Amino acid sequence: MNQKKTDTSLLEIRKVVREYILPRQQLFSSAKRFRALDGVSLTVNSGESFGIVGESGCGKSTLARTVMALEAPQSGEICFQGKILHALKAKELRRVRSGLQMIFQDPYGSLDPRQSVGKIIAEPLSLLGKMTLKKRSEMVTEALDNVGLSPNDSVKFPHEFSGGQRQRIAIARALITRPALIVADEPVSALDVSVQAQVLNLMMDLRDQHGLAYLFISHDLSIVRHMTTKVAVMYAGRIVEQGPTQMLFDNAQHPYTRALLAAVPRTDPSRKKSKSASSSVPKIPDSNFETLSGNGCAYASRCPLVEDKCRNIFPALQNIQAASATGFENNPQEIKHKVACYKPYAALVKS
Amino acid sequence: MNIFKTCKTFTSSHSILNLLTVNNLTISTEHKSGSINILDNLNFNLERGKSLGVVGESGCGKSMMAIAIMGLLPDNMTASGEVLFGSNLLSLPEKELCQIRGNKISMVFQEPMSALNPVLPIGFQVAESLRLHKNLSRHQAQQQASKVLDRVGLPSQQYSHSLYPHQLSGGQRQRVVIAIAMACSPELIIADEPTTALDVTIQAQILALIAELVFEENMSLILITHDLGVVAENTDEMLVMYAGRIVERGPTKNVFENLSHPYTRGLFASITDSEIASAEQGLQSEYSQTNRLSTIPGRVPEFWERSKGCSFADRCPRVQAQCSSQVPEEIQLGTAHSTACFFHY
Repeated sequence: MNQKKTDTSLLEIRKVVREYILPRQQLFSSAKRFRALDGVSLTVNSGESFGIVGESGCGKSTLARTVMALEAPQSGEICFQGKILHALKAKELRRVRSGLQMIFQDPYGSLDPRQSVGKIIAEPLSLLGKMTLKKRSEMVTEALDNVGLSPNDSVKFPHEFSGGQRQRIAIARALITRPALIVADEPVSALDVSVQAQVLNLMMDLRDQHGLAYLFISHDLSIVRHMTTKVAVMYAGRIVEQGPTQMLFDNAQHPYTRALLAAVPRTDPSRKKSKSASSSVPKIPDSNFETLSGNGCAYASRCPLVEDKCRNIFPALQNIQAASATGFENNPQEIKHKVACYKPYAALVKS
Repeated sequence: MNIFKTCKTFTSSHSILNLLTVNNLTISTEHKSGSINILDNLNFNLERGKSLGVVGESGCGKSMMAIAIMGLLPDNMTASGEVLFGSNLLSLPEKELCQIRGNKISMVFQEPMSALNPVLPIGFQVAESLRLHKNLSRHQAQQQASKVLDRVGLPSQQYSHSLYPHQLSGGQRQRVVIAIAMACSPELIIADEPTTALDVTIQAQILALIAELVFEENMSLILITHDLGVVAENTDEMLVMYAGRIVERGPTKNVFENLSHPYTRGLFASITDSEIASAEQGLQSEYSQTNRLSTIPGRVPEFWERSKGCSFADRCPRVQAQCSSQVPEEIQLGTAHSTACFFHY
């Protein structure tokens, strides 16, 4: 069954579909379905960071929850360390979970205010089976030490810490079971700029020390660019572009990726728009993922390059024929730069 | 579109150049250890038709400044100094402040969902301020309100103005908040992190909308944000605040060309976007090693933890003995660009 699986792939997501049933509009009308994930496939190898970018509502967080086995996909499978997560029995799943941890967005909401830091951090240890108290406290001390907090902090409570320190506690809690993969859902978006950098540095150090892999979900393109080696851009539950981070950011192909990159404000006052010429801002209408028709490209209604074909058939992910990509042909670990668009930028440049 | 001009009735007796002048604005509160200044001797001018960016991390007093100008300080805080907007707003009785708030000065808030009333239709919420300030009848106000909503990009053909906030997306809600702020065509708009809760693509649209409206109606803008990119692209002048004081100020262009306060430099270096730019400016040596983000060690002190001297002293790479005992005065560096640091760059 798993013929394609290579030894190093840690997490394989294959054509995952997750639907939610929306409240019915009228009493006797059939309930509408909303596809939060629509055939998402990607592979994360051990020790690498994989970034997922996209606007709110595009399915990033649903993907995270599905990977954590907090939600079951309607179809497709998620394969972690060779085991298909949603086929496992509860007992086995618990054991697998110790290799899979999550860091949440808001460190003010994700830590129980009534538990001491030591207790919070030790909680995932129950996954590892019975353990002596002494061993427990040793591991807590080690985890605190890993994230740059002092062992004395274990008796304190979350309210005694600043936002950045709280996120460190959340990271320590994720680290304590020595996971192979950490799913980080917007881990720094609630923090101040200068503290963001501290937490990101910590995450990079831990990756190097412990050989962690990250599934790094963020809407902040510059952070994803810095943190990850591979990246996938999601739109309305589908991956519209993926590739090595550097290549994708330098040579973005999908009109949506290009619009996202263009919208990031730069610290360059010479980019200040002449005030009347606001027409230079790409006019992307607000996203409204719910009213999408099932078949065509979801971005069609916002896309400047739209043509009839786009509205009818969703374009499949296709390789970009870039000269630099040919070197990776034979290496299954390498990700190829792919885009799901009939009119990628490269084709436009040619014509 | 001149719908704002038609209902503009206010003529200012204020000096032509300066719309808002803040002199020695100090906000203090009682704490366990005695009276503490949350804002310390803030001074700045804002000219008519100009935009001013205010940057700093949370806890720097950016929002307190906005609240103080609007006269909305909580009871346990007292403000001293002057906020001159025609007259001194700090000494104005509540009744007269109500004539100014939402009429001549209005605010755009960060979180559009909590700034809007969830049980009232958006058209009604925009009309509300028109009825209060412009003495329009219910019907006239509704008509005016739908004109304003058209103007901010919510045309009535597409978006019924009897929709409720929960039926709109985040960007659309922020457009409604802007419509409420713009309805009475104020002279000053204070936007407190107007795009922090929004996606980048929507952020670009909302900022462009604000810039466009401000320009067309010749309003002034105070844009409070923690995002240096937003300030760089949208403002004429900027203030950098740290722990209740202004540490660097000047025309946005000049400040970015010559970041002179260590805090501004640190802030600039710790954003990932700036890697290339900072390499050009030679910032790498002091703050970063390769492939790591440069950070400012430590964190913003809480207002009761601030030290006697320069508040940035314990995080600063250039700190010397003098810094922890003495508050640095602002030093002029060039045309209107100044910094409050003994050992500036």
